[in-house]
Amino acid sequence: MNLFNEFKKGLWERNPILVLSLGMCPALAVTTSISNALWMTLATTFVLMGSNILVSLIKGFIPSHVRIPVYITIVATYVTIVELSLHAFQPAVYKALGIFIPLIVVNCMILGRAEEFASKNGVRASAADALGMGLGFGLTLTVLAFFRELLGANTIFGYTFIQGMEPSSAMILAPGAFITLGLMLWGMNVINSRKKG
Amino acid sequence: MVKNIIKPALVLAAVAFCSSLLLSFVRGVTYPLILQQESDKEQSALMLVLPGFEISEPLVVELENGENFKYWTGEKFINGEAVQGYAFISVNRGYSGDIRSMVGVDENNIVLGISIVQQSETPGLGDRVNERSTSETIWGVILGRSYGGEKITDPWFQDQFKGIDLNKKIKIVKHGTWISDMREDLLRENAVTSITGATITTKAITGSLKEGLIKLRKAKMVTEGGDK
Amino acid sequence: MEIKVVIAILVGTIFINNYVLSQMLGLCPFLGVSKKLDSAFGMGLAVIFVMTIASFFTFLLYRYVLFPYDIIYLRTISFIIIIASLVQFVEMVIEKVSPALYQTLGIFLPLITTNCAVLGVAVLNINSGFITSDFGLVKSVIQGFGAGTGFTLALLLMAGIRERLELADIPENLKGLPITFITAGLLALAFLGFAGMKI
Repeated sequence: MNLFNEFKKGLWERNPILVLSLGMCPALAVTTSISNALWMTLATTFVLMGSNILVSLIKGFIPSHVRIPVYITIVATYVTIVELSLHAFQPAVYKALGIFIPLIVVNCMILGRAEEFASKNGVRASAADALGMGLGFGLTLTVLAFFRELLGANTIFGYTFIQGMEPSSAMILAPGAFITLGLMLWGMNVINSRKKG
Repeated sequence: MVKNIIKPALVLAAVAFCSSLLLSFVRGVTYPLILQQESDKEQSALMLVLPGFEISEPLVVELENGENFKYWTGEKFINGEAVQGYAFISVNRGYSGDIRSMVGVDENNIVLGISIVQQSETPGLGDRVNERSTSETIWGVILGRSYGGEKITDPWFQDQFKGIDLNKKIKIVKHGTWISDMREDLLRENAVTSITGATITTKAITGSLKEGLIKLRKAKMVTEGGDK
Repeated sequence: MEIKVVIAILVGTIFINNYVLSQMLGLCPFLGVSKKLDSAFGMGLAVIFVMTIASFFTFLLYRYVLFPYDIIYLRTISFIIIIASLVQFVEMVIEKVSPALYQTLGIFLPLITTNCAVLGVAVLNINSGFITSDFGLVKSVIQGFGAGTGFTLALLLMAGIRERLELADIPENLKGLPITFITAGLLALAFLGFAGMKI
């Protein structure tokens, strides 16, 4: 089992958002700024790695029909740790990400990887898988956030882009999110078909 | 058959137990920090709305409608003369939830400053109450130098309230994002410019100021037993 | 409690702050089940049911256990457990009552647990300040019902459009998810027209 391959696949071929269609709720809602996207990636990757590693460690002890409640409890525990830590150490980020911090629990990506991969593979592979997925998630989020922040708030990472230009609020709100993601998916298809053809 | 139920139940219970243990620990570590933040926020808002004032402990007065109104008194010396200032928190329902603003006024009911301590308005719209305008552009950062212009550190929406007369009606105009050049003209008409696309948020905050002042008057009458 | 408050909550959650098209919650099932109108409708009903009941129990738990005993940090865990159990229960009921629907919904039924909109509405009920207001429980349940209805509305609209899109001549690279998201974006843009309405 090649560790690097397990890691690499999460970045493009099995990108959680663009290919597996997992973890889209937070993807659209927190990409209002690059900073938010990065913090969300950090939080989610922490939970993902924690849960993948733990599930892989104790997979022998979990009877099959309680596995989903057990996974959920594990993920929820990690999420609560993230919630409390962010609230204490980074209150501004906690406020910015708001309701989406507890919603990491229901990020289908985390439960999905626990069920599909961590429950069937070794600890190191599970960790690599989690890291790759987390990074793939983060890259997608950052690209999304880059466009939305640029066009919707006229800033990049908080710094003004063009002086005195009033940005397009629709980009910061839901329509901008949906359409940008749609265009990204289209772009990905175009790139993939170029590779094939 | 019994084993089928006992083992899963035990496993679940064990997981739940470990989880609670871990969480109580994390909670114990983080809770004092969280509490500290809340009080720090209030303190820094006070400093902002009554700049340079020596602020005394807050007073809590029960008003006629049963509400407990909390306010601070501050004293500053300008040219040897003692000047009084008051601060209070005014609350009003904005677009999505309550907006709490710390307001500082002088004896003549002129606003010395406001600081919005809590809001949950729409990001990109009402959320812009906390937006700080800066002439620091991304190009300036990349090229390693700033492009001149003043770097404003207070949120522009709140900054523009300095000098607003609460005795008169506050006008709301739509002149786009506020810049300091607008201050004179706007204050002449006792006006504030609203956030583009967030008129409800703007109205909620402006409305809450007047209301807060009325409560302050009533509270002062109770404590000082006088007229004003 | 006046009827005006009820209408305000309902119009708010169904149109102005639609959970899918405005708040961007509940996207996984939104994309997964919106291909056909009938499955969309069945899923919508299941979600309305789960959201309404979940709102009821999570609110009670928060107000009478979490808040008074100062264990609010257990909110996330306890809420998700309540929701997971509810979904399990709904699954069993549907299997008994309508096996056909059970077959159609397939994997999507247990996925209601991970529907961010369900946990979302439970948390939003708390954030709306209902804990300390009069008739808080009733308001929460109404908000849960409204959220589910708004979700169903968005789902039905999408399904109707996607059924038509099947027959349209779409460029190869836009087929599937890309055009679906762009469509959702246009729907969201339309719903943006409701923004700023105050009742």
